[in-house]
This record gives sequence, C-alpha cells and structure tokens, in this order.
Amino acid sequence: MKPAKFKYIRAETVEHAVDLLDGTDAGVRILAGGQSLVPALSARTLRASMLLDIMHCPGLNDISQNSGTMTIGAACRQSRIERDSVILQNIPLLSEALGWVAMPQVRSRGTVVGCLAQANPGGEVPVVALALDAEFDLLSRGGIQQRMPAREVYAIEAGTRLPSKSVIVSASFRARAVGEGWGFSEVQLRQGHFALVCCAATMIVDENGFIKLATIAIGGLTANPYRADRAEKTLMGESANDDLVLRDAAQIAATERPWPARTDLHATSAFRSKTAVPAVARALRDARLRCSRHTGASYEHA
Amino acid sequence: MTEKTLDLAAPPKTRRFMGEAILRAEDQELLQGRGGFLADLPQPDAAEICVIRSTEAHALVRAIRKERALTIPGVIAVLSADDLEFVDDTLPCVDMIPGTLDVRQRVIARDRVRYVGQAVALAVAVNRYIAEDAAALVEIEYESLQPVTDHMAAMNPGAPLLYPELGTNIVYQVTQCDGNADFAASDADLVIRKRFEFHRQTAIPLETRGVTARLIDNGARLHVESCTQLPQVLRSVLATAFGLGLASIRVTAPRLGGGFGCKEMVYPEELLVAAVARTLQRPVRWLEDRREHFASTTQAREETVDAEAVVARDGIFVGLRVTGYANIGAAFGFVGNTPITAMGALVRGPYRVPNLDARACSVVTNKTPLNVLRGAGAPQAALVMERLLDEAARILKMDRAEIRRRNLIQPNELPLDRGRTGFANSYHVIYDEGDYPRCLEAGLKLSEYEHFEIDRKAAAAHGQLLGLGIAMYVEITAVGPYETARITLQADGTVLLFSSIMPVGQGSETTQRQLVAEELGVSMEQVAIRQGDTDEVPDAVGTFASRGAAIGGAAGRMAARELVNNILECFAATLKCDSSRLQWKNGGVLITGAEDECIPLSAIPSRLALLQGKKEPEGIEAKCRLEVPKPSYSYATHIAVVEIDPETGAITIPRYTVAHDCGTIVNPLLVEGQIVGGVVQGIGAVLRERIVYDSEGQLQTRAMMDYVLPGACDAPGDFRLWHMETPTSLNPFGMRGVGEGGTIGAHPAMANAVADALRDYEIEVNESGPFNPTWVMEALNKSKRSCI
Amino acid sequence: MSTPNSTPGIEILDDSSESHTTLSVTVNGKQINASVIDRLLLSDFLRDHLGLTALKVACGEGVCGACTVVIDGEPARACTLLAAQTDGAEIVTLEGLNAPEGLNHVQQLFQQQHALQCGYCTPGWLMTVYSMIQRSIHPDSPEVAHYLSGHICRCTGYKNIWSAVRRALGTEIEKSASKEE
Repeated sequence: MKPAKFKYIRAETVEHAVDLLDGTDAGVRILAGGQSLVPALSARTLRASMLLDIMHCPGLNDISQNSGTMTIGAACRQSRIERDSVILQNIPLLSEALGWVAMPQVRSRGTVVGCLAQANPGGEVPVVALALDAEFDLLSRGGIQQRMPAREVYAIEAGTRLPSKSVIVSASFRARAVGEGWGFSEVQLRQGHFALVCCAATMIVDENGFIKLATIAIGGLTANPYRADRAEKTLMGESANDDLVLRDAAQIAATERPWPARTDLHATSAFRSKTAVPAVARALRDARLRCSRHTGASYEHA
Repeated sequence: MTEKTLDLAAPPKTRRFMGEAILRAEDQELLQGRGGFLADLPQPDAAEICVIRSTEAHALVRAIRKERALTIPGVIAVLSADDLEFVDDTLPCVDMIPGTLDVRQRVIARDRVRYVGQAVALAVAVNRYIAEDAAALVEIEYESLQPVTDHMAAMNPGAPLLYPELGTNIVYQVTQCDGNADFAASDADLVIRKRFEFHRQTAIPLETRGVTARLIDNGARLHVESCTQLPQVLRSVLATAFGLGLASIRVTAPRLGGGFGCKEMVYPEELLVAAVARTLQRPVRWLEDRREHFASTTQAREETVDAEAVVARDGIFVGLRVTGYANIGAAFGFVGNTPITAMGALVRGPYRVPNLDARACSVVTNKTPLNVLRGAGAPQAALVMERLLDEAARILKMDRAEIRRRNLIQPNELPLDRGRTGFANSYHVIYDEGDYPRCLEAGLKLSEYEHFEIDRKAAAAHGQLLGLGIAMYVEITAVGPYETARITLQADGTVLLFSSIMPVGQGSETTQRQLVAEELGVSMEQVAIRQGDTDEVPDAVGTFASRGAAIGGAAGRMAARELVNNILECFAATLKCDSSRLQWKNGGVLITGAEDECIPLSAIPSRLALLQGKKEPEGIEAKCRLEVPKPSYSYATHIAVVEIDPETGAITIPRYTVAHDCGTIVNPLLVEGQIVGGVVQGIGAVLRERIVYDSEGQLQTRAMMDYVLPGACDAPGDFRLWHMETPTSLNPFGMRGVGEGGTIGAHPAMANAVADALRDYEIEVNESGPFNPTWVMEALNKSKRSCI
Repeated sequence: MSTPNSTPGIEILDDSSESHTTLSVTVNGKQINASVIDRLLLSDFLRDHLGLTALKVACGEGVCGACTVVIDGEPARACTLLAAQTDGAEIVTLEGLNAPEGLNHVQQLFQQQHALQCGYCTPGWLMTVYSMIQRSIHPDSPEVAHYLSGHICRCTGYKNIWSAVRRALGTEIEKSASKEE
C-alpha cells in the first residue's frame, strides 16, 4: 500500500495552484488535509501525476464573518473549526456535525473544505452545507472567481459538479439567525465509522411555536446529500411542538430523495430508508428544542 | 472470587507466584515501543518483495509478462513459478485423514488460480514502493473459469470443479458417533430440526504478517524469520521444500502482534521469500500490508450445519444428529478441517445427550483458504447446542436455566468418554474433572438472572428490547502430543528458560517465568526467557489450542524441577557426599551436616567452580519433554444481556457475565485479560464482522472500513467474572487452557440473547449473524408481529 | 488480461525518475532536514528513515490508530500523510515521551491495569492519551469515547484500556487541581 509516483508541489499561492491545475494533465489534484486522498493513493485506487499542497497558501487559513455568513478558508482544519468559539456562536450546526466526522485523530489534519470537495457518501460537512445554503468560492485560471451554491455542487447523484481545474478557496455558511434552532443526528455502525444516514436541520419558530422556517438536509441515504424541499414546505406554519408533524415531515423528507437509496457492505437501502425517518425526526426535535432557548454561546448535545 | 475443589499435587512449597497477578515484565519494552516486531527489525540490506496476486477467483494462467516491470530502475527481479525451485511445493495440512483428497495448497500458482489473492508472481526491488510499481506493470493473461463460492452449491453435480482431476469439491468427510447413532424419536418426543449458518470471519491481528530470509554462515545455511506461531514446523517444511537437512535451516520468530490462529499456518509467502533469497542469493523481506492481508491470510468459521435434536417431554435431550458442511476455500489450511470436525467432537458441550450421529465434510470453493480462528470450531458447536436448548425450552415452556440443569453432566460422571472423534489421530474426547452444574449456578447468580424479567419490562417501557442469553461450552485445550523446554542455570547465576511457546499477546513470557520462579523458589527477576529460535529450541509443537501456559508452561516448570535434580546431583558428585544431605530449600541448595549451609541459586555456579577447582563457572542444564496423551477440557457459563433499539437496529451489551473453569490459574490478571479480550472478539464477530465475497469470487471486504471490528464503545458496560479452579489431573500442575474460551462462549450467548430480545417477534435465530442493524431491521420486518 | 494495480481512466506519464522534496521538520525536539521522495508516507519517513519504530503501520487507511503520532500538538495518523506535508511541523512520537529510565506515569498505569496484550497497538493509544492530557480532558467527558474510538485493539477488549485511561486523566486532573491550590 505505497502510492505510485507523483510530483508533489507546495503551492506558494492559490493562484499558483490554479495555474498548475489548468494543464492538459488530468492527473493533477489539489492536496489539502489528504485524509481521503492519501489512503486512496496508497491503495492505488486513485492515481495522481501531481499533488498541489495548498496548506501553506496565504489567505486560506482565515475564518471571517460578513453580514449573515461565516466564511471558512480552504486550509482550515476540522479540529480547529470544531473548537472555534466564533464558529460555535454563528454556525453551531457545523461545530456539532464535525464531532461526527471520522475520529479526532483524523480531524486534526483534515480540512472542512476538503470534505466538501471529496463528497464522500455520508459525509457530514456537505449535509451541513446544504442545510445552511453554503456557497463555495472558486478560483479558476486567469483569476476567474465564481461562487457556486452547495445545492448546485451536489445536484447529481454522486460526486460534485465543481468545474474541473478550479480550486475551492473558501466556503461560506449562512449564520444562525436570532432564535434559530439547529439539530444534527447520525446513525453509525460504530463510533468513528461512516454515517449510514445523517441529517442536519434548522428551524425558526414564531412566538406561538409555529414554524416560520425549516431546513432539512439528508446525507448517507443517497450517495450525495439532498435538501428535503417538500418536507420543509409541509412544516411551514405548522406547530413545532407537535411530534406527529415532525414525524410526518421526516417521512416525506426520506421518501423525496431524488436518487435511489444506497446499499453497501454496511447497510441496505431498505435499512437506510427506514432509519432516515427517525434520524430526521430527531434532528428536527433538537432544532425545536434549541429554538426555544435563549441564544447563548453554549449549547448541549440533545 | 476463587474457589478450589482439589489440592494441588506439587512439592510442598510456599506458593509465591501461582495465582498471583504479577505484572508483565515484557510490558516495559512494549510500552516504550521497543517490542521488536518483525517489521521493526532493521534489515538495511534486504530487498523488498511485493507479491503479485491473482485478481481472478478461478482461472487458467496463460501467460505472465514481466518485461515492462523489469524496465523500472530499482527493480531487481520478477519471479514466477518457473523461476523458483522446490523439491516439494506443497504446504502442509495436518488434519488429513484416510480418504481425504489432496487439496494441499501449492506454494505458487503455476497454471491455475483458485482464489483472489493467490500468489502468482513476485516483484523484488530495492524498496516496497518500487516493488509495487513493478507489480503494477506485470501483465498476467488469465482465461477465466466459472467460480463457485457457495459451499452448498459447490457440492451439487455440475458445479464448477476446483480440482477437475478429483471429480468433486467434497474433499474431506468424517463421522463421529456416540451411544446409539440410530436413535429414534418416540411419539412423545419433540423433534427439532434447524439449519444453522455460520458466516465467514477473519482474525485481523493488528500485526500483519511478514517474512525475511537470508543466507548465513557463508551461504551454508538459510535463516528465515517469520510471524509464525509454529517456528519449528516451519523449519521442517522449509527443509522438505528445498530438500535440505534441518540443520541447514534456522527459523526465528519475533514476538507476534496477535495471531488468534491465523498465524498457526504455513503460508506460501514463507516458502516463497526463502526461495527468492536462495535464488537471488541476497537477503529479502516481505511485509504484508492490510489490503493484501484480507485475501492472503486465512479466513475462518464459514460452515452450514443441519441439526436434528430429539428431546423428551421432560426436556432431556435424547440424541443429536448434526451434519456440517465447511466452506474451506480453495485449499487446505494447516488445520483447515479442524473446525468442522470439532462440531461432532464438541457439539454436546457439558450436556449428556447420550446419542450422537455427527457427520462433517469440507468443501472447496473459490475463496481464500480456511484455517482456525480462536475457538477452532467450538463457537459454532456451542451455538448449535445452545440454540437447540433455547428452542426446546420455548416449545416445552420450560425455564431456560432449568432445561440446562436437567441435561448437564454431573461431577460424579466425570471423567466421561464422549467417543472417538474424527480428528486425524482419532483421539477420544474425554472430559476431565469439573463441576458443570456449579458453574451454571454461579453464572446465573452473578448475572442476576432471577431479576432479569424486571429489567426486561423496564427496558420495554422505554421502547428498548432487552434480551438475555445463556450459553455453556466445553472446549479442547492444552493439546499434545508433547512439548519441550530447556532451562539453563547460567554461569552468572541467572536462569534462562528456552521455551516452545511464542508470545502472541497472551503473556506467555510472564506466565512461564512465574512457573519457573515458583518451582525454584527464586524471584521473578532471576528468571529470563527466550523463544522462537529453532537453533535454541529445535523441537517443539507450537503455540495454539490454548496450550501455552498449560503445556508449554508445565514443560518449563518440569524442566526447572529437573534442573534442581541436576544441581543436587552435581553437588553430590562434587562433594562426594550422600544425597540425603542435600535438599533444595528457599531457592538454593541446603547442605546439612555439622553446620547447615545454604547456597542460593545465584551463587551456585561460582561455588561449584570453586569446589571443583575450575577457573570459570559453568552452566547447568536441564530439559523436559512433557508427553501429553490427552487434552484437557475447560468450560464456562456465559450470560449476555443485550439491548436492541428497534428504531435503529443498534445492539448494545449492558452486562456480560462469565463463570469459568480453566483449572489452576497461574496469573489471574492475564486470565481475565484473555477472557475479556476473547469475549469482545466474539461480540464483534456476531455483531458486525463479515467477510464478503460476491458470486464471482471477488472479495468485497478489503479494508478496515469494510470489515468492522469492535471498538472501545463496544465493550460490555458491566463485565462480571468468576473463576472456579478445578485442577485437572491431566496436567502436573492442574492447568488447562483459557485463551479461546471468551470467544467460544460469546457466539452462543449473544445469539441466544438476540433471540431472547426478539422473542415476541418469533424470529428464527439459527446463525452467527452478524446481527448488524440491517439484520435486526429485516428480522423485525419479517416477523409475524410488526413493531409499528 | 489484467494488471493487478492499474486504475483505468488516467494516463500517467510513468517516467523513470522519482521526484524529491526538501523537508524541514522537528521530531521529538530535534530539527531534521531531509530530502524525501515525494510519495514517501510519513509513517515510512519516521520508521525507516529516522528509525522511530514505536509507531506501527497496521492498516494504512487511518482507521486503526496504531500509527498515531502528535503533530503540532494534535494526535494524527502517520499513515495518511506524506512526509512532505509535514514541512515546518513539530512531530512527537512515543520515543519522545519515554522516560530516560523505566516507564513514564501513563505507561505505568497501562502496565498496572493490564491494558495491553500483544502491544502492537499500544504506542498509538499512548499518543492519544498524551494529547488528551495536553488538552486537560476530564475522565468523565464524552470526548473520551471519541478519542478512544480512534483506536482498534484486537486483544484486550478495551475494558482495561478504559481503566488505564480514566486513571491517567484522573491523576492529571488531580495534579492540576493541586497545583492550583
């Protein structure tokens, strides 16, 4: 399990990386944390001719806040974001979901943006990206910048629709509104293993407990995650305190999947389809619980 | 809590180390990361080998093209069958009985491959990176043949044949009968017929395998180092393979990072690496990576068992018929037929069941060869019996503990000959001393069996399904046929034991030193131990079947006893005095006379030198060859409590209880470690572990993320353990084996617990699972009563 | 026809030269400057080039934890990193935590609790425990389960490892509490 030959380049700037990416060689890849890429190279299930290490590029290590969004640079490590108090304050859904990603010893090296680019089936960060209407800032050759919503990035059954020869410079997530609750649930075979099914949800209720806004994103059920738009619509105006309402919405969310449910070594599609319902319901209940609390810097795992 | 039922038969001595929780001295190195495992040993001059393995499950090999691979700088050679010379290229199988068809594995594929992962060629390079580059460029032309992976299908006429010249895929058949094999049910009796399925597992020791080979002594000898539980066996096999004398081969084995039976094997790579060293006349090394390990290291447990039990209305089992079909993969493992033969030998467990008709066969399929894994067929045997008991109890509306009580063999019936087994040496299973009823009661009490229904109701109130499973087993341990030990009182006054037992994690070094220190009456620090080198220990049987402490350790202690005799004789001869004046006392020689004189062990060599007028002290040696005509039988009660979440299918284990008897315990700390470790390994096996092949024989589980092992959160929340010590008269120190029992009991206890948790759903649990969330969900869906 | 390790779809220029990268890294407090082949895994750099064989490669996928080291203060897998990626980093291996003589405190607890059997996975656990102590993680914190789930042990069944780890974290809490007094 040793990788085949490739050339390793420490990109000096992200523009440098983009230039190198933009050649005829299809084997040039971006290397961030490497926690998915390096094992695949070792197993030789993936080949590369060149790896562009972007971890030392200036400007990629920043966390910034701009009017209602939090932006995370491509070199920000998962463990740092997981523990960051500003992230916790503004996008606590991501903080919580990160605790489910692999294991602490992998999160120390992996990057948040790397998860988004890999789009591993059942990956937690893409699910959060969908729930929080994330947008990715891309850089292509010639300094061309573009913004691509997560919805568009994951609009296919598997993989991403990211333009080839582009680098994700940062990802921006919608920050929590006042009174907004969030929930994340996951079904795993074993602690530290993949998500069989996971769900990220947010909720805002009015003063009478009726739902003004809800987002539901489901991962693991299908290869790529998806937003359960129909289920979200059914929740509008409904009483958040009615468990049956939440359960019904969960049912719709699971069945409105745009692609077939996955079967793999660890669980069948039938299992995933069935377990998705209580997983979504749990995330919604957690979101409801948090809506009703005064916003503060700390929260509990429900 | 320890109970003794018999006195030890040993020389009167203060017990200083027997039964003591001595901390392991070997931990010092291990905790500092200086364990000296094979991959850690510096081999700066060794070339690295990458084994090129078949990607086809069943195919003819038409051509092997090496040219492209040879162009890479740093590649030394690409070798296939034609390039390597063997006098005998078969790998051994020691459980072939008369009538067995010869499907011993050949070292390397020549014109046919029979499983994905089979070695076809070898790339040798200056490092492993380049060796893998070369391997990637070797082109092999296969002509695909139809594979067969299901053992039941492989038995059908018209199934693809792995060995067409044999005309069949059924290669081994054995029968074991006891009592009246033609027993019949009376009208009143209950007849229960079930088919049991046991899924394929693999050991996954943390340390993968590895082999190094080099010529030593100016090319006169071959030195092979391997991760093996059987260094002496390997030496014999190498000698036969190359037509060399034993003396011209040295095999060394460093400490092993786990074995669990998968290193109780002679592997193709062990002979191939040696052949490469001889052919290229240079040192070479092969380190197995985890990915190849899944295909290249032996697998285990896969079998189907048809069972029929005749049970009287009072719950007494009249007789048992079992027919076992083992999926042994593409060729024999070293002891590949043992697990299915163990079905007949052990299925009745501690229960009387006077009549038995047991048949078994081994079926070849296009999968990795099968060998033993912790328990060696006993987990499957116990599961069959224990599920039948629960089923009978259910039908007869009898308490599950009660039905077991009624069937248990009583202490006064022991020893009990259970009949001649189908094993290669036809030995009889003769249960030695024990108290099975007491063991059951102890387990029931310790697990609070009486209060379980209250716990079940409380869990149900929270929507959780709680279940309790009882299982008992009897296992073969401490097998012979013999074992050797050599001990030296060195010139510097320290003692060195040369042991036949390999440390695989079981703490054999500490256990054996305890036994020797006990015998000699000296401190642990005065006793050192070495093993694994055929130059030092040329004749040994090896490390398996829970025999390390009981047999290897006993041999060491008897060698120490012999050492004492030799020392005393030495003094008698030197002092020219009557032996009645000499005794061994308090760790030294006591010479009685006008003035008593005591010479401690450490001073003996120098004192003897003085008395003999010699300049330099000399060592004194002793040997022991302990003959072991009969194995001894450990037994236990396991009681598992599982909690099933019907919403997620997740299974947790809030409580696990073991009441066991492995005879005289040397080190309770280590014994507990073996039991807990074995239980968790068994839990993992039935909850999630599964080797998966598709119908084309392609291995689907090729990585640690695929084959899901138990993790830190899978350990039972509350683990309760009770030791009983019934010394066995078959061992000079009353010891039996304990290394495998945890895994053996966990299989049936967990299956029974899962079945019990789902009892309202009337689900058949005639299998080892794995009981993963998908299994639970499908079981609940299939049941007559849905859980909505 | 098959080539055992080929991946279809990407044409790789398989030129015969191996590219190298310079690496400047601190390992157990010592500055190391090296030129390494680009594809060299960190696990091989530490084990084979620097002779630091305490860490073990047991899976190559980052799952089992036997190769865990500490990089820039955090536990990380050596097998899922290229050596080249650690330029400028501070790496600590078990060799850097060993006492000059005998066992350090955590190692003693592991021995006392019989928290190791074959010992192959043990160095990895010790690095994670070291990291947990650096972060002052409380023995009853839910984070303990997450950290421990990053390691596989095939021998012990984990029970004794939990005991050793809780004691290690507990004594550290006691130590720091008594320092504050």
